[in-house]
Amino acid sequence: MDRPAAPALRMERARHWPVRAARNFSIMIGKFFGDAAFRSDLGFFRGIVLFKGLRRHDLARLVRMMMQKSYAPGDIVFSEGDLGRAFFVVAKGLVEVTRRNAATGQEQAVAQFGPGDFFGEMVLLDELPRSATCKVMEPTRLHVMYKDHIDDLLTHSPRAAAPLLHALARLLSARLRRERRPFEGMINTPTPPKGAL
Amino acid sequence: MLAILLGWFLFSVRVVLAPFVLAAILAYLLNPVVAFFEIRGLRRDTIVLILFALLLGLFIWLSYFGLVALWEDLPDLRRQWPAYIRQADQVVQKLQGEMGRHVTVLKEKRVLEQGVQWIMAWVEQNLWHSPSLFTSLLAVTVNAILAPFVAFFFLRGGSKAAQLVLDVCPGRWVERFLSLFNKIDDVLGNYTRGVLFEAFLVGVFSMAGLYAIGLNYAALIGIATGLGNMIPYFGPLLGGVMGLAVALFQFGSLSALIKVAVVFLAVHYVDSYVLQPFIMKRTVNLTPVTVVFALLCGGTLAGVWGLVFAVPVASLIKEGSRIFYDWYRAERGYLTPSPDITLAASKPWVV
Repeated sequence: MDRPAAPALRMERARHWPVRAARNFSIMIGKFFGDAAFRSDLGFFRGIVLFKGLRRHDLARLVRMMMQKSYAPGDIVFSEGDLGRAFFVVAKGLVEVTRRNAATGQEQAVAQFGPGDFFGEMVLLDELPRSATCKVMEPTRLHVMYKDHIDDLLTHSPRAAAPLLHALARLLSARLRRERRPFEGMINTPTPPKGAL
Repeated sequence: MLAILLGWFLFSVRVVLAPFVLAAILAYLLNPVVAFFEIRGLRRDTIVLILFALLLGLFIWLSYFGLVALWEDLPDLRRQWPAYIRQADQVVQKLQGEMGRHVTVLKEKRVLEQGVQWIMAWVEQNLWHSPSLFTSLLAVTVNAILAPFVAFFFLRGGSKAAQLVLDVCPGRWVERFLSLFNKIDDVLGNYTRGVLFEAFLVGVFSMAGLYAIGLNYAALIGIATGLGNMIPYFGPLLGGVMGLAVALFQFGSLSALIKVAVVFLAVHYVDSYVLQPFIMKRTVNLTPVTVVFALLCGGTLAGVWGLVFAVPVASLIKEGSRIFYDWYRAERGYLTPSPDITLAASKPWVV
């Protein structure tokens, strides 16, 4: 293996010492003044599909407003029919989604959410009762984002609103495509006239 | 039940709430500065520490110049004091003569002179020789020291108190708690900003009015009026007393006193019937009639404190009722998508 010549290396180091000093200084300042937990949270939320298009500044505004809540196994996060006011991101643990079967009246498990998953995001679009019940299966920690904080961001920052709403719309579109039965039950059903509801 | 108990407890200890209310106002004012740096990745503790160090430095700097000015002016004031008293006496005599020309009974009964003597006697008896003066001064000093101290911890804690409550809140109540907590936060924040904006406008109007009639120290009296206006109705009263005192020495005429009184009456009426209802409507979303009604109720129930808290309490009652009404409607199944959305959603879709 060729070793770089010692004088050349020393010269190289000497030439870049202001850059290195500035970098070390900024690391030192960051360590002293910077909030490591906040940076880690930012990294975590950056990986979530809804927030991928947000600028760092906008995402930081949202993350700053978030709260955390720990749940024990068996706790209900919300029940079907509750008014939705928040959006949840699983930090750790497992949450099960159940829906009541209209025919039998029994609760049926329809999905499970683990770390990095989110649920209750439809609250960002409407303020209507929840469509399912979410129950905690193991010790779980959730990030809770209150709807009004996101509404504030959407109102005051169109640059944040566009990517966030676009991501939400693409998510809805993907879910509709996954359904694969858009016309099922409607083939012989005439479209109701306008003003019928 | 818990809310009633909390309300009763706060009402019972209202005497000691002043520094905490001041601290909360200070924390609300400084919170946007902290948030500005916090979302840029800096630690909250460090930001608050630096901010308070800067504020303390500013306070010491201003106090130093204030004390130096006072120290330099005090001997002068002491020398000039007898002259001021003589001048005031002459002004009172002159005013009495002027008033006596128009209304002879005022001259015969020496109303003004007796009025001034009565006020001086009252001040001598009730203020200077009363232990309540020292108690009040002590209370003001303690509040002035305690408020920033408490504000430091309020600001440093941020939403930790809310996080603690959220930790013990039953799972299904999390969203209700968040709705209530954020509404309270919004109402108090908006109310504080509204009060400050109103105080600013009252200060500017008073200053402009006094400047228009040519009174000295118009800016100083305007600032005092604006600051005093944070307690409802107190601003124009404070400004009026200061303005009348300055007008008495500067002009020494009845017409000047009437002009000052007219300025402050006008400011008071504009504030009560134009600024306050409309600013409060924008900031706490209450109609002008509700604001006036809330102020009347607050004043009747709890005096000055009632006036201070009437508007935010009314707003909290309104917002809290709305939250519980929405939950009630959701639980009863009355909340549904709007008819046009339901109609559009009933049609087939193509993806």
